[in-house]
Amino acid sequence: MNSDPRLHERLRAAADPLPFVPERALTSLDASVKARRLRRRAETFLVVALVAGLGGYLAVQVLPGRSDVPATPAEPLGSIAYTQATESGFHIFQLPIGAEPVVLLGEVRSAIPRWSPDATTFGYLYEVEGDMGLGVSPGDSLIEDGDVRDFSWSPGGARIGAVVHLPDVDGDEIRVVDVATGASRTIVDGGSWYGVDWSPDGSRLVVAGQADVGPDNVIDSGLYLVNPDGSSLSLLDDRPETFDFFPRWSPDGTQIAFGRSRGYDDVDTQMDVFIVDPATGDLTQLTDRGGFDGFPAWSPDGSWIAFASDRGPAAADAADAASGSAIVAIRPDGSGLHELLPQIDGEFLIPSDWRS
Amino acid sequence: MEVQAEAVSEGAPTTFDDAFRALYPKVVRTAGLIARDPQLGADIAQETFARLYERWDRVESADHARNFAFRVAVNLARSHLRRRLAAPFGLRGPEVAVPDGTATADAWLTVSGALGGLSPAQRTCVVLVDYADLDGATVGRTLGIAEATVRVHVMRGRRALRAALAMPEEDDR
Repeated sequence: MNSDPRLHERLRAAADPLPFVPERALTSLDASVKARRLRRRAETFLVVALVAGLGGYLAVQVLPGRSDVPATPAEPLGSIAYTQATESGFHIFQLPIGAEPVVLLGEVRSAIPRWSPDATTFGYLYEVEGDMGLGVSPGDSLIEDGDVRDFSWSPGGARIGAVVHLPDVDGDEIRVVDVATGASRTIVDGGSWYGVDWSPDGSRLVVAGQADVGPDNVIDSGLYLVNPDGSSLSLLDDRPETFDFFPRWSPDGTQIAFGRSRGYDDVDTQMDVFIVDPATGDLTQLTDRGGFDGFPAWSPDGSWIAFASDRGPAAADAADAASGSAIVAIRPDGSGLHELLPQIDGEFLIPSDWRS
Repeated sequence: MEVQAEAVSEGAPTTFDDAFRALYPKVVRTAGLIARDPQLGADIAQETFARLYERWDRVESADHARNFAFRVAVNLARSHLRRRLAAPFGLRGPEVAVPDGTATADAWLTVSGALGGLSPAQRTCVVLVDYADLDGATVGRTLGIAEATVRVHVMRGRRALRAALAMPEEDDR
């Protein structure tokens, strides 16, 4: 297959006039290579130090032999709310498992739909002048003064906890908003946060991210628990070398699923799904495939976890695998991997809620 | 760069500098077209050639260097596309692409907009074949997919691109 002469000319006419100076690029490449060498030496030193000093401390357990576990006859049931993101925008859908997806909100750019506890309405994020606001169907706005990253209904449905990024001050806060009145209270001021979820008994919220730099100049990164009034912010699982995203309590409140990346540079390509027991801190790694597995959502009975995966079982080839994500489901013990919505080139499919 | 390593096969670039000068213009513009962002294309090319430099002692031929450079550049460009898709969800890495405000030439804007209507796989294949002049087999090896798959992506991508650019349809078989 050779190039098409007419298309070749159009592409050349567009791209070839782009200015660049090879000699300048070569000079800056020299500096770049030196910086990379220094960084790699530092990383090597860090790895050696970790292996030597902390090897016994790292208690992560990858489930043994999960690929040998036969799929059980039981199938995932219910409906999954999800976001479809493409280069042209993002919209929210509902997937009745085994049937065709249904648009939840098509008029505006929207993301991360989550049903209210009584399932009579749903909350969602929507684009407001480049940031994401928080709305409740059928169009009530609750937060428009910041960039909302994640939110969670309280078990009774009267309040919503939200992670809000404030671009003006380049800081984050955790807010609790009264759904009926819109009145909000900041319960955690400062830090960098990437997800929030309300415990099923309503007593605590789990938030993922980093509190502000501590007195010893160390940033604690991981999952935190905090009371709804903002008291007792405490680190549940401290892994300074990782970044955690989008924690979700199991329906019985005994486990929290979340996405974990080893480095912030790779959060969109390298992430795995973990489960932690909030009572003991015991950690289980559910996925370990070298790609992106994130955005977990529990089934209502707690027997399945759906998540976004860029290497779904139906991914046909490497090119497609690099530019989209499927929605798959797995049991909390690592068995029974199901593909619920296949990967399509250029579409990033992200589950955020699951109801019966 | 003070690099004088000899590549081993006949026809290989004599030095890294030679390879850089021969490949850089095509790589920076190919990455810019795939990412639809010329400044990002330059950043990607910088990273690409830094990686090529680091493994220069293992480069066996000019073809090897070229294929390695395009493979890395395409993967980096596609990674940036993914990062844009993930941006609404707070997954903003430190290298979020910022549209280049200086790229205002009509030709660039028209073609860049038309390429936006192609899927990432179609766009990648069309740019590699119709701009970078790589043949289908080389593109397949670069992307890790079958040549037949490349052909399908190119045919569908060309059809969409011609329609967007109001160009007459042609027989690509």
